[in-house]
Amino acid sequence: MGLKISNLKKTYAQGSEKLTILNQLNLEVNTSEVVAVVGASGSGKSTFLSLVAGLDYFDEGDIAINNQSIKNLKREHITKFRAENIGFVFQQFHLISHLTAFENITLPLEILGRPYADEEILKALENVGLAHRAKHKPTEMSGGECQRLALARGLITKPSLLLADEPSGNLDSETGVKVMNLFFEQVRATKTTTVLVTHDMELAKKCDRIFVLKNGSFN
Amino acid sequence: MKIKDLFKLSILELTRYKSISLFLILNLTLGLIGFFLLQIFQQSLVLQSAERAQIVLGGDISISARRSFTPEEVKQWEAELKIEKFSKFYSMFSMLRTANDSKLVSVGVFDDNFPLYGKFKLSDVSFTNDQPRVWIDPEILDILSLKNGDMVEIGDQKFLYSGIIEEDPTRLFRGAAFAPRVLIHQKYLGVAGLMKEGSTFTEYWNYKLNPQSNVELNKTKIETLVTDPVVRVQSTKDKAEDSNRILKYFADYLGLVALVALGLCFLCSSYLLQWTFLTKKKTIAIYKTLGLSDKKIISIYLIQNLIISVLACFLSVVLVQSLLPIVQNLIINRFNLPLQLVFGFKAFSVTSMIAIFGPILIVVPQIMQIIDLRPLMLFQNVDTKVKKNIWYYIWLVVSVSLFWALAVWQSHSYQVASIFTGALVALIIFFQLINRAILVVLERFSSNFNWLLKYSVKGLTRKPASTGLVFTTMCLSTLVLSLLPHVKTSIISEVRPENASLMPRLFLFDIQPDQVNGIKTASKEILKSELELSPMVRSRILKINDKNYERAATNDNMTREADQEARSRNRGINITYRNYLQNSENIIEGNFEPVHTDSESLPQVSLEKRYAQRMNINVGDKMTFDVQGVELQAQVSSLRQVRWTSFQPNFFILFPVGVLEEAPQIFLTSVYSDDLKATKKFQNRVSNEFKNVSIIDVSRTIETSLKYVDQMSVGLQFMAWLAVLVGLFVFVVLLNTQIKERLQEMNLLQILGAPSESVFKIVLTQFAILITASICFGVLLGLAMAWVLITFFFDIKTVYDLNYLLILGSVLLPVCGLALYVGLEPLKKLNPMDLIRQQ
Repeated sequence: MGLKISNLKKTYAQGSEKLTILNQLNLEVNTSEVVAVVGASGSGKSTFLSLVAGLDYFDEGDIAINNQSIKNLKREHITKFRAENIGFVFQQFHLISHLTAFENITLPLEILGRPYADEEILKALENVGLAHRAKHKPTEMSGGECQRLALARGLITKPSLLLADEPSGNLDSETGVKVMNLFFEQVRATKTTTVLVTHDMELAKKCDRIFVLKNGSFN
Repeated sequence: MKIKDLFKLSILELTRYKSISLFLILNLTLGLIGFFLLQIFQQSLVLQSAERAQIVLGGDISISARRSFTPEEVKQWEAELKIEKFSKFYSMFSMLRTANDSKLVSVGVFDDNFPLYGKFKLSDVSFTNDQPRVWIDPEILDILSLKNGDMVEIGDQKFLYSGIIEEDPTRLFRGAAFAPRVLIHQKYLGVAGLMKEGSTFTEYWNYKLNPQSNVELNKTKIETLVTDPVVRVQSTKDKAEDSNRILKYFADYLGLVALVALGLCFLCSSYLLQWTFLTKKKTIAIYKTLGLSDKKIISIYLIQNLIISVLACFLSVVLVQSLLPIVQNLIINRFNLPLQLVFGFKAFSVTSMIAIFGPILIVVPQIMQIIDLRPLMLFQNVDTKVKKNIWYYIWLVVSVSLFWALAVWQSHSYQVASIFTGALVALIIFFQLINRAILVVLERFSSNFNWLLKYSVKGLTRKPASTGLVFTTMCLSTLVLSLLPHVKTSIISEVRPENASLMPRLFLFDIQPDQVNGIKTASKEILKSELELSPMVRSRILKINDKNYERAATNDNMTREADQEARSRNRGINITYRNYLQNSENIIEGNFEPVHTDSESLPQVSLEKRYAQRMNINVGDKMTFDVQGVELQAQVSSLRQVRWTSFQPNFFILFPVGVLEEAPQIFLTSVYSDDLKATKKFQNRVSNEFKNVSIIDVSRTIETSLKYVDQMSVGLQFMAWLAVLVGLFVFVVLLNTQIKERLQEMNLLQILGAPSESVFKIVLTQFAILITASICFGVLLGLAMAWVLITFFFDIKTVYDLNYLLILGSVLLPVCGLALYVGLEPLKKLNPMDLIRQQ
């Protein structure tokens, strides 16, 4: 199982009251499967992503990635687990502006302490059509190029799970389509289990399954 | 949009960027404090000098010379003046002797009309001529224990000790003089035998004029009548400008250090303004889209700056007011200056002008960017680069030129200001280059480091503007701070070498030719050593290369160089003759001619190099001297370097033997001895047998000079610490802005799997590298600059104060460490979820 979420509950304290964001949320994503999570603003998409990424603690239930539960992992272990198992692609790319495209891709490997060959990185850049941009910084690249670079970075550690948060949200429609085609091409080629959070139903339809987040759980 | 709305918008923006606005205000305040305090010091000095100029001068007009005036000369100028009252005064050095001891004193010889203005406060007996009496400065009591009724000797006359001079209105500040003052009545001058041929004294004719007299006009008339350049005609205005020259020179240098702090503060402001501008760029584009004209947007920007300037001014006034009692206390107790610091309008207005116009100048690059900004950028990424077009470079040149003008105004010297500004600009460029070089080297080697270090280094190398600013400001402030103690240590070491026998114990002057053999005999008998006596002939320069050498007027608007040149011109010159060079001299240009034998050719003289430079005299130039009425021509054959701190009889002009032997002359000598008892015995014998001979206790004089060095060093250090405070502030500002800028990046690193401690370590490493490198380079460059300054300016051997460096390091590094630790606090509260929530 790529991702298994069982009876997940997350509440936030708001003054003296407790605000339930996610409740009895269940989800099973098979290995290599690409699923979409859609939902209106405020439906809990960001909370869902934070919990799956191990960035926040949940109140009840469990999350297992590649059959490993993250429920009882301590903070330092969860960070390591995230580095080894989870890749990210963000709407606003979140690339390091002072690093080159090449260095942005190597960063997750450096953090992991995993050795790499330059050819491997160049291949990853080539896969997203950016081999010629290896020495360029994100500030010198277009939005589409930045998102492709973010995708290459998300996949470089060969994660068990790729979390993509509105990856085309910051791109014009034409570039968005091109980038997302490449996105699907890459995640499928690498057989990476992927959770794509989006509000774009057209994009969601390209995934294997769609889950709609409403009132804190999937309908 | 009305001006009121523009103000509202400006205030809105200032409050929206609260922390930056606060940083800008504090930064400017810090830069202004030193400058403000200095202005107060300078203005108070000028004010109090002017207020008491009449009393200090001793009249409305004073005519003086180091010679006696002829009755014809006096008659000539008195015919031009409407005199109400006049007083004649003499000043000279002599020995004050008791039964067991003696001390060099400055003897003031007054007449019945003394003083024309002001009132002396004497401990016991008022000025009177009923019998030979002497009134003394209090410090003499510490050396020679005197009590009422004791008799002391000055020259050939016994005087009754009649009390101490508690308040002397003719001296604005009573510093630690090497010869304290005593006062005697003119009636006893003749019997004391203090004015023999060749003796050094100054004669003053002080006049109280009719209130309707135009003093300045009278002064000009007298100057036209009396053409001898050694005659000094001073009005109260001159005295106000002339008094406390040393303090004024000192204030000049304090001003330059204050300018370093101000310069650093403007550098920091410039960075902060650009940083804020980048974050506001989209807002400005929105303003433009909404139809706000460039003029109005610029007005908003300028109003913001004006508000910041006004608030900084206000804050600096409050801080300066609270600091004033501390500084006042420092001035009175540490500097021994009874100067009353007055918070004057002029000091405030000068500082306000700088506070207002400085930031307006700094904001010019942002104004240029506002004009260039196209609303189209709303749809693009924010371009962080500053476009450096021709206008940018013009602005840069104008800014540096204005800074130079400020330095000229502060230092009263084109030369010093040019060297200072040039050195500052060169240092800033040099620090930027060094910073780049360090970063390039670090990046090259970083491939071998672990990712944390590698990432930290890249964070530095890829942000050269911000790292360059921290590096430059910290380097520069550390340099200023570390430079001064080496200068002080070198001066101290020069005048107080480890082997005390290298320094003379006594310095004897005013020795008459007929006393030479007697003094030599006394030395042989008591000190068991031969004394070398140097002749001194008084003269004045008439011509240089056949061009008349006339009196030059001095005034307060003159640069220090022009003032020094004028003073050199107006002073008589003491010359000597010898056929050998002393060990404190060496020829640096031309040839030394020891003997003049050929009566057909001109005597070949040797000039001290700095004197020659100041007077613009070169090897080969002809000089015409008036040696006590006899005209004498000579040619400059060599320039000498003289180690003045040797305390040997050193002279600006050295004649060969065979020319001046017949001229009226006196002799000087320095006495070397390790035997303190014998030295004291020798001193007592000389002062008893040769009553007109003056003896300086060299070690006591050195102590006095060192007191001055120490006092000045404290003042300069105070200013230097202010510069460091600005440097530290820049560091904190940079830390804060960098952390704000990089919070997202740090959150991302955590999402990518970097532990939070690693993220903390990255920023810590970056700033630790930066601060350590800048402090180390500042200190190293301080050592190099100290060497340059001490070797070429002071002309002495460099001695480094390594203890101070240790103290400096142990203060600066922990302070920076603490600032870093506190500054990094926001990183401990990082929440990577923010990155997802931002989406």
